[in-house]
Amino acid sequence: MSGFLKKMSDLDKRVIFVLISLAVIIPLLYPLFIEINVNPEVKAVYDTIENLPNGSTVFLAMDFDPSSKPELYPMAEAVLRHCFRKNHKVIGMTFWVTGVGLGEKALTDIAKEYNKEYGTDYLYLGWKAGGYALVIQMGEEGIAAAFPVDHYGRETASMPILQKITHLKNIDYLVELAAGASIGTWYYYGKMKYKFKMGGGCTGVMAASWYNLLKIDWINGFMGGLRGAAEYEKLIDKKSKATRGMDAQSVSHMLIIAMIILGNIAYFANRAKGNK
Amino acid sequence: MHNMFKFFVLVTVILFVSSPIMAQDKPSLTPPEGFTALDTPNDIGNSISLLWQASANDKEGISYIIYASPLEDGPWLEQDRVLSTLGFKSDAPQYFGLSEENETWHFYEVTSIKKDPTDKNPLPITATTYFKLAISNGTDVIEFHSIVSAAPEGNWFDTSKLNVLIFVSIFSILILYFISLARKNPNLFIRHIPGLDAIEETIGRATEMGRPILYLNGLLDMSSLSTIASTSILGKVARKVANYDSQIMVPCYDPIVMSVCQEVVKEAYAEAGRPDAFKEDNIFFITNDQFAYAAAVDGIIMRHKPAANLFMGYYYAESLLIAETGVATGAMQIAGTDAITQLPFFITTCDYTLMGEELYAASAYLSREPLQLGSLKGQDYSKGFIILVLIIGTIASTAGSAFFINLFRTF
Amino acid sequence: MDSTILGGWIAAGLTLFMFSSLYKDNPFYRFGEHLYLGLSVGYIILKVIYANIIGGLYKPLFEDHQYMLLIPTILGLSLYTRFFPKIAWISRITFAFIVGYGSGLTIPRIIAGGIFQQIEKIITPLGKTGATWWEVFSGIVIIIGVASVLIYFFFSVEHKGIINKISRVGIYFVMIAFGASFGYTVMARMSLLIGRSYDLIEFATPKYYYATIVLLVLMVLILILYESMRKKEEGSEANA
Repeated sequence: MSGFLKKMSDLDKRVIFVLISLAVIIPLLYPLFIEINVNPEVKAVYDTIENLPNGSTVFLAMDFDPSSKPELYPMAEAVLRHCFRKNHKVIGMTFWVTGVGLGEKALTDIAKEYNKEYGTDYLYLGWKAGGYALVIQMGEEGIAAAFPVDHYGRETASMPILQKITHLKNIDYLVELAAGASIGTWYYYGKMKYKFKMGGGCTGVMAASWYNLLKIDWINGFMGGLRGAAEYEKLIDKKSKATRGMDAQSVSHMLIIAMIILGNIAYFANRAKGNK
Repeated sequence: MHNMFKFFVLVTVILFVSSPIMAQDKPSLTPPEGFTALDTPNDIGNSISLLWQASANDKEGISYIIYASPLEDGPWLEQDRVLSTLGFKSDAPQYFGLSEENETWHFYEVTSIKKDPTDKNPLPITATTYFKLAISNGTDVIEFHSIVSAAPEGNWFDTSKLNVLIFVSIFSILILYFISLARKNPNLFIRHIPGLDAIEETIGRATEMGRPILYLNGLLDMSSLSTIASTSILGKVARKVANYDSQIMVPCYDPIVMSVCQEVVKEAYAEAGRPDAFKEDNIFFITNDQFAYAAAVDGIIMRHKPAANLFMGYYYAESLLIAETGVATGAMQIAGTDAITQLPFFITTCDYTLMGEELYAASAYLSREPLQLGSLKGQDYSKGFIILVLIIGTIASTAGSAFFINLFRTF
Repeated sequence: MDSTILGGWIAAGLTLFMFSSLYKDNPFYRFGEHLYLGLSVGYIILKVIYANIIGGLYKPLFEDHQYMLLIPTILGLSLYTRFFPKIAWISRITFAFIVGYGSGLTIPRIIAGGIFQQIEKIITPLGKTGATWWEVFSGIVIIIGVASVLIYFFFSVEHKGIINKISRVGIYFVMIAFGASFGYTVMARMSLLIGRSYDLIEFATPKYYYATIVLLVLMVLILILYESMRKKEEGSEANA
């Protein structure tokens, strides 16, 4: 037993890497279909979009890049599916220059599923430098003024989708999918002044701090990490990558917890042995 | 005759009983009091506010109709219908404050004027406009004859943000006061921060082992407080490195930070009397892409195997990637960051961690620079004020007073 | 060859190259690292040139005749005077503009949204009408937590006596918060691994001509060969 505990405390990291890899790959190959419960903060985002009158406008800020794709891209797809199903109009953009392609792919792929027309049902503004200055310009001068051309170089002022939704104050809901601190930009320079409703999604790293934003009414709900995306997929009844990933997530978490417990037992046992 | 009398009495009774019931369906003929139009306060001059007192008119099924005209004599065009049970001054505290009386006044904000009833693109309101009010129960409309007018004007001062102005002013005065105090007396008290002792130990260890010291400034630019604090600490570290005749490597994420760090390290070597030992190539720019930077730093750690890693500044997800690689090479690691999300990783992988404000305090403690020292002291006293407000405010609000909640309300 | 298939092979290959660093530093990892570095810098430069310089400056200035843009252009260019010591003082004008404009715009909003709103939400009445016992308990815990953590980060007073005790309470709250954050982050890292694994599994299918498997086998064989050659070289050096 003491030999086993010694081995546990000196365990080669590469053994842990292999175990984690197996804990991730096996559930992906052989799904377990573990049931997912929906949290109130995710339901709040869903309910907001669900209760908007059909044809409302949702502004989707896809502020992430490929390094956060596994968590935030499924969220984008799920929110887009929900919006298009409710015949809401969607305006997409990003603050991340390396995330432009992801945002475009999400919008075009999901819009194609629902036979939506570009320029009328959805619009992709793409990326433009400016950060908070861009938000202020969209609020004061208008979305078309901030983005005179869209991601494809087409003029935005004449697009049907921007005839009624000219400024940020006209949008019905803003969903911010953030891999960084852009929620602050949208709140300080957007929601504080133009008073639109805001919800969002974030990576697991930031999820703990976003509960504070929920408490102080920056957002009315949010999806935290891959789990948040899986919960949203459950709500829209379209299980996809996020749901599949939750099996692997659950198994790998259980493995980590087991290793933490064993490692701590080994540590304290060896320490006690060393003190004798 | 007797039958006719009975019939007459019956009709009179029926009319008498039914008249209140029928009267309830008709809107009151009394116009609401205090109907006024004024420039909306605290705005940029793009709206007019219409106000009128709540009255017995306000019931389910009753709406007010707002008419507007550019001229006093008309033509009057219907702008909107608002339910009598909605739209009060208390809904717009950013304009009218938090007085309880606001719940007894209706408020409607006019931002545009329709040219005709079907106008889908009304023009923004810019000139003097005249308004009339009417009331409707859905079928009947009764117009009130009072005509009011106003012109929108931009306001220079937003009174709803007065509390923010006062707080910022007091905070600024405190900081300026302490900066001037710090200029006269650089030995203002800052409590000892344990992580700082480890820095000297780290540099000595690196010298003994004959391996370099790796110093990272984080991922933000020079305008960030954490980067400023980091470069301040770098100066002290570089001076010790020069004294011990060791080597320091500073891979940078931002080109401007790189040029500042080169100056800081060069000056540190000169102060230590070792300007010849300074190598500009040791402070270099890699890339300003997050994970490319992390990959490059990992590569440097694996190839050069520094004995000490100092991570001072603001980090994102690459923090654990870099710190874990350092652990794998057996380096002694000290981190200091105000990135709350990354602190857990530094705490588990580094020997010492300066958390949040401790980084700024460490920088002020080491440099004794009046600006940093004064700012820290000013912040401390503001924190003290906030602690008091939280405790007293909670007690007061539990006792039923909304004073403190309203004091910090923002619109 | 279909670009999707080629893209799958490249993605699988580069993913495996970066994962190979888990074993030890090797040429595959170094190749991937340098490729990523160069690509990221090149992509960002191009995007900035086309979106900002051409789209945001050149076209509005020369095609739309928005001559007001000359002012921010001159201010921006003056930043480069930092490289010439004799005229470096000119860059201070731009910095003054940036700092002044930035501070004026951000400070009131951060104070209002970041500090005031938090204070407003914390000083809510404990035990308001209809509150459950859990809400009252949470309110008390929040007050104690916020106050004790703020006292821990109070640097003007030595941590002795009652202040030391309150600071210890504060540090426990901080560590619990870090534990929650750490747990969430472990979840996030697992999610990233799951995302890559999902893609690697997809690239191992017949549609992508078993890209993952082929590349993995090739990589392992080359690494074995590389290691044995390196050991031989080290051995011959030691003998010499």
